[in-house]
Amino acid sequence: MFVQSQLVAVPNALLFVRDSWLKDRPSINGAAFFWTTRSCVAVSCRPDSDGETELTLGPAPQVGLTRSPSFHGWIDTPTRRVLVEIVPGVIVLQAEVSGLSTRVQIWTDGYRDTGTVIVGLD
Amino acid sequence: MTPHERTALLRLRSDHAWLRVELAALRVRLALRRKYSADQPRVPAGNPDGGQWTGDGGNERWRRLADRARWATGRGRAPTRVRINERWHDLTPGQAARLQAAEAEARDALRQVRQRDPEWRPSRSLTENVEGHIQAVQAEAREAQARLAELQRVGIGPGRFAAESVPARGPGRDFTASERREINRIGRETGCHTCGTQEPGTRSNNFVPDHQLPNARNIRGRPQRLYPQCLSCSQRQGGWMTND
Repeated sequence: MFVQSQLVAVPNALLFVRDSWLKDRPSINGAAFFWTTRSCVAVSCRPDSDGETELTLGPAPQVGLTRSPSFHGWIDTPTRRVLVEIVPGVIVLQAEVSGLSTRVQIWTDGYRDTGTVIVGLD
Repeated sequence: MTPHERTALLRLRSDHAWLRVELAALRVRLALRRKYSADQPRVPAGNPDGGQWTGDGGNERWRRLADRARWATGRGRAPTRVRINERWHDLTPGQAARLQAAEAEARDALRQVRQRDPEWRPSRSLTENVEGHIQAVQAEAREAQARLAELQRVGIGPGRFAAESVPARGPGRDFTASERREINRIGRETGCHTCGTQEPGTRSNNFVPDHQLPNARNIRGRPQRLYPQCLSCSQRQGGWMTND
């Protein structure tokens, strides 16, 4: 796995970090920073109308910041591949992982319309 | 007119139709009590049997009475039969009125749903008799109304608080400064078209210009308009469309 970065205009201000095959996306109530299921983490970010979001994906030790992540959890990854996608199902970044379950850490700038999303995988 | 007001209006029309059915049934009963019906055909004057009742008095009389009832209930438009599973079933005047009201309610709800979700279809039921058929149509109406409420709640179609809007140049998200200003103006005056909040929820204090119908739903490429939407409703809409 290597570090990837991209500037993305995100429709509906939503990013999905999930296993490449499982499509169990969480129900979005619009009132939180993150929403989760066993195989997916949805991230609130900057709406496309306000500009692009800087998205980074890679190994947590390489991309992670010194401060604590805004999100820390695990997702099932039976296909050993993690995608980052936007509405409606456009894949922006993807990475291979080693386990059937993957630890996900996400760093943002602390706002719901964050312009920075760093996804670290272990 | 809100969906609730529309439903109430349809119910009033149904009650009105039912009262007319009652009145027609009363006239039928009165007519049957008479020994002779003035409408029963007679042999024309000048014939040897002139003035005598003629024709197939029994069936002819029922047909004319049924015509009168039909006229009283819907000026000739109320159905007298319905086709269920390849068989025709006769309707009483009351059933005809209830079926007509249920079909009107279902048609209205379905029309509103299809404006937002063109591919949606209600569940189909198998019925064997008239009452079952009427209940099935009523269930379709309720299902369509529930779908409409859900679509409005998640921002598919102009929401309850929709007021002004801006014509969209296309499905693209490259808005001009003028479009952004106008969307923000509308949002500050009337709020998010889905929830009504006047707080967009963004640090920029910009409302999110929302295409209606949403691009993912506008499969026929119809002209769209832009409405102001808050960050939360935009996310709720995106999450719902992804999962639908």
